[in-house]
Amino acid sequence: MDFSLSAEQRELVDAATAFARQELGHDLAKLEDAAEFPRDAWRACARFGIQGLPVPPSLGGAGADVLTTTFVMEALGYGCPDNGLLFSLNAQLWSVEHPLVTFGTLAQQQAYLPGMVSGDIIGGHAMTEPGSGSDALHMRTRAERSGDDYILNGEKQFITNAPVADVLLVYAAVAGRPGMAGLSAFLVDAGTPGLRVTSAFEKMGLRTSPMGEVALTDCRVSATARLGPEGAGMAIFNSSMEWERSCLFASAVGGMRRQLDACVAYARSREQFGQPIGKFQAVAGKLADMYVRLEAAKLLLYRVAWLKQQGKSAPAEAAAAKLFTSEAWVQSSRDAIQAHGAWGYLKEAGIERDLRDAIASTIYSGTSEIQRVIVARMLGL
Amino acid sequence: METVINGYISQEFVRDTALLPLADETPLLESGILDSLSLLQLVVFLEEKFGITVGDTDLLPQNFETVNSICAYLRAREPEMQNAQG
Ligand SMILES: Cc1cc2nc3c(=O)[nH]c(=O)nc-3n(C[C@H](O)[C@H](O)[C@H](O)COP(=O)(O)OP(=O)(O)OC[C@H]3O[C@@H](n4cnc5c(N)ncnc54)[C@H](O)[C@@H]3O)c2cc1C
Repeated sequence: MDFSLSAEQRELVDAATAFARQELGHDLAKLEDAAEFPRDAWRACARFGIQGLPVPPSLGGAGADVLTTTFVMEALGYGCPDNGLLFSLNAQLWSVEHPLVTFGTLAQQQAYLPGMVSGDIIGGHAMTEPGSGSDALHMRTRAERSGDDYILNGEKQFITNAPVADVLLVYAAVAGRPGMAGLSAFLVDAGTPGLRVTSAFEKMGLRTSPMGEVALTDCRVSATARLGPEGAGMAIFNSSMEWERSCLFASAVGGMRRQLDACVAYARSREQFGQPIGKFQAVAGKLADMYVRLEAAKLLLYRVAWLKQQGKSAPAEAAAAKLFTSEAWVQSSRDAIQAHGAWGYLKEAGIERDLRDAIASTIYSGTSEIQRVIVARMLGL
Repeated sequence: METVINGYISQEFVRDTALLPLADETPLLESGILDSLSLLQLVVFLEEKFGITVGDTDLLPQNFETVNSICAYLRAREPEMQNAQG
């Protein structure tokens, strides 16, 4: 395993960092207060090529490998403080685009991917329901076959991008096929009769990433809207989650590096008791711990990305990386506030935002507790 | 192959001893012997034991329905297994 960047990757990462610093995160405090989705920044990301990263060149994308994608998403996290925007981007990349690339027919790929790459089409994935969160596969939403169509009925909640989405990847159990055998996924366009997206939730963090509830009432979709064969839902969901657990969390690693840089600069310049606070061992030790967590998270994520690149299944490794990185992201965000004293606690400093955003990372893509369950099961427990 | 896979599943995943000895045609998913997590554990075992990679698109119920269907899936990958051994 060699994680050193090639000259080409270095150039891309530098360009992504510069792009993120210059073009993203503008007016963030205002957007956050209004819980507004930064559509201009979304389009700017598309122009830079972010939404096209995992998409093959034949469909307008870059066809980047997993490690390169991980490095770029890390660079965005480093350069851009708008974690909500990055979260929305990641949700589309790993839970909609990646499944389309892996499981989609050419017709499905052509219908959605070029538009997603250009930033014109926004996607979300709808798995979680009022009665099934961690136990995601025990869903109530049903798909009933009716001639050449399916009729979908059910409710989904906490769906990222739903209020702005042009298409949702909806998971449902096909009636009459028990358990995993029936679990399937359907591409449902916004505006399809019977699909209703309700209330955008008010969240403590990730406020620029819109989230909504989805109701499906006799929502009729053609069988050509089914992604993969009937029963492929578990495979699609599992594949999305493993990729999400490496690439999405690369943005958190970038964020931790941004925090560490800011803390080091502050600890060198802020003086108390006649010397820079960084000279006090308690402060220096905190920053050293931030560095250790950052490096450990980075290695765990890179290793998952490398395993995925080799085509290997990596459930334990992905769960360990997700668990460690999300918890490290929360701790690093707390430490960043502490190192800045009262200034860190003020909204105008823009430091406390990371903590509000980071807490969600221990819940989405499977909670920390569920990652431990996965690791334990892979250990044979 | 059947013996190895049947043995692994029997030892790791069968909680209800009334189901033992496990028949190669016993439905593994429908009966709850395999759930979403044990399926992943089984995949890691198959990858290590037989030197194959189980692609994302192969994780379909029909490939893991019974010990026999797992073996049929593996036999279709025989060239890959030979390369890994050779
Ligand atoms: C910001 C954000 C964005 C999201 N975006 C999406 C999206 O786009 N699409 C989508 O489908 N979903 C999305 N979700 C939902 C997310 O996947 C679920 O919140 C998550 O799976 C947990 O489900 P739950 O909230 O219902 O909690 P529950 O499953 O009810 O869990 C409650 C508590 O019990 C614990 N618990 C549950 N089961 C176990 C167990 N077996 N062992 C130990 N502890 C357990 C949990 O860890 C948690 O602490 C999002 C969530 C957040 C926060």
